[in-house]
Amino acid sequence: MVLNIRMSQDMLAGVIFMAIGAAAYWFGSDLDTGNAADMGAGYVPHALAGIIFGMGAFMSLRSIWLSSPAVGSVNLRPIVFVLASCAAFALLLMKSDSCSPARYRFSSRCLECGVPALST
Amino acid sequence: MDLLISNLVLGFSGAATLENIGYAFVGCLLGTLVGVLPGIGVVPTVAMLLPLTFGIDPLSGLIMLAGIYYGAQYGGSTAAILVRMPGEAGSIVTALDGYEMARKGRGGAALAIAALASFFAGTVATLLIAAFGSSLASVAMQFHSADYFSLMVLGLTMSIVLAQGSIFKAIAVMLAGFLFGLIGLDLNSGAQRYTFGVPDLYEGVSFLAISIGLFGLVEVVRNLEFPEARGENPKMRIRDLYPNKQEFRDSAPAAARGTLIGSVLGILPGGGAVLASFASYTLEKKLSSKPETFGNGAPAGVAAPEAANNAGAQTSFIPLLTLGLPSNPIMALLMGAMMIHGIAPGTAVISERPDLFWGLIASMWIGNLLLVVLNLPLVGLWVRLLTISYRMLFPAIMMFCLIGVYSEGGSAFQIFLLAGFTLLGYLLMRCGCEPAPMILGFILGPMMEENLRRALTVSGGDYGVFIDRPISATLLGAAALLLLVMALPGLRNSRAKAFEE
Repeated sequence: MVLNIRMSQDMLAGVIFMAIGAAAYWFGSDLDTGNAADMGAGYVPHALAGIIFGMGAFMSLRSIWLSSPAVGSVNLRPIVFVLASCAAFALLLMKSDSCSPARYRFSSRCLECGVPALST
Repeated sequence: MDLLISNLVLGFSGAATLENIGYAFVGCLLGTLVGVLPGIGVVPTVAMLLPLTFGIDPLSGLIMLAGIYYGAQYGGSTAAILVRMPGEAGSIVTALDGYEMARKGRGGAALAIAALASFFAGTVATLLIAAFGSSLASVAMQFHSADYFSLMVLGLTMSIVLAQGSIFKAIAVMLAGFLFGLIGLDLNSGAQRYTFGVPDLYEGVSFLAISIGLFGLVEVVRNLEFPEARGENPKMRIRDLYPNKQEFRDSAPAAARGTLIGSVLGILPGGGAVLASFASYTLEKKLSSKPETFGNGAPAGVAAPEAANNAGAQTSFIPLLTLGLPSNPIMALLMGAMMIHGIAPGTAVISERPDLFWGLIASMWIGNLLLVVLNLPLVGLWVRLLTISYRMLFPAIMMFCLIGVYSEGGSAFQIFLLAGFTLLGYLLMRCGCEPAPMILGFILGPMMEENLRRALTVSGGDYGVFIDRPISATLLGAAALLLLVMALPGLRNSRAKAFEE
């Protein structure tokens, strides 16, 4: 599971920051900006979204002119397995969350599905 | 002077109870245990072990935290000396001569020198914090919100300048952290920001999820993907633990000078510990009558950077405790932990909770003492740990991280958040961005917004207030100057060279 990415590091970084900036602007567009003297909840987030997007755009544009090292070969196994084990942990927890405390009354395991109790 | 003594007595009476010494002991032990593992630096160690300190009372928690921090640092030096695997930038220099000493069979002596030099530096720096801490706090009383904002800008700028890699990327990473820090309920307007209706986000992104994701799990992935980064196994014997007379004579003055350099540079916001270890090593090499021994196992080359590193690490607590300004990622982690304990570091701590402030200072010294007592006899055990197989180690670390994150909020959502930040941290790592500035932005961001808001409300929306106030103007000027200097090509090259060495 090795992926060879020829995209340059700066280009990828720029794209990530543009995505963060755009998401921050899109999902925060309902926040009230206000003005400098009376800031709304959206004043700083909007400013940050703009700056981050701008920096990301600059980074990826610059990477077209100036060469930077490529991302190179990415071994997917470690990252995929680490993320998958997080997900497995969370999903197993959610399953045990659905067991009501009453079912643990006489046992350290849920009487219906056998999931161990997390706290008593 | 009398006041200082009575304050220290207050601190020791709180910190030196049997229970708290026990916590300090456990903290040191665990910190060393994880810190010594090759490839795992101080920041991931502290991030992973943070959750352990929650749920006990604040002072004990802080004491344990301090123990973890010193233990992790000492563990890092051990790995640097024995297998030339510096876990963090501060011990890179130690690895140069320490590893050479170890190869010559003086590994035990190098470890003892490192421990004793660190202990000496820690003692001096703790006294310095006690002496200057409270007076600096009274200076900070005159700060207005505009000044605080500028101070934080300066602090962030300095930490970026000292970070590895591209400054431009570091700024972007920091701002992204700032943005993540704003998620949750806006206290001024009561509006929900970026919570998507998820109750777990109402109080903001979990600090543990972001720090353990960015530092703990990304580190695991990095080690799995680049196994060649592991050092060779230590083959030398550690028998002679005590430095001989000549080694002692070489290293004692070096440790003293290193302490001085470290203490001064550590106070600077921006975290001078790394700088201090480089500077003191260079100084020793210049002062030495036998400069050619440096790099070939000179004891002074171990003592000076270790003393400087430790003194710097210690005095970098000063801006945190007095101004509430974390000067490096570790301080940001500690600050986050303090806030979870319900303590907001800053001027208020000294005046409102003197027992906590002085107790923490006393515990720093206790932590340093315990390290010497604990580590020298246990060196054999730590060496054994260095050879532990990764296939045993990583599942254990994963489990530990997952339980830690889950234990704070008790909801599965935190785990998904953790996975998200791990992915983000991994992507950033792959495109040459250091994740450290993100945690600084995350911690300082909300405070910066608060101060910016207050300052501009008072000035009626006039941004000139940051230039009109002399304190604020000076701080901003310094930050601008710093960025300007860093943008100059000549300095950029020498900085790159310094990191290469």
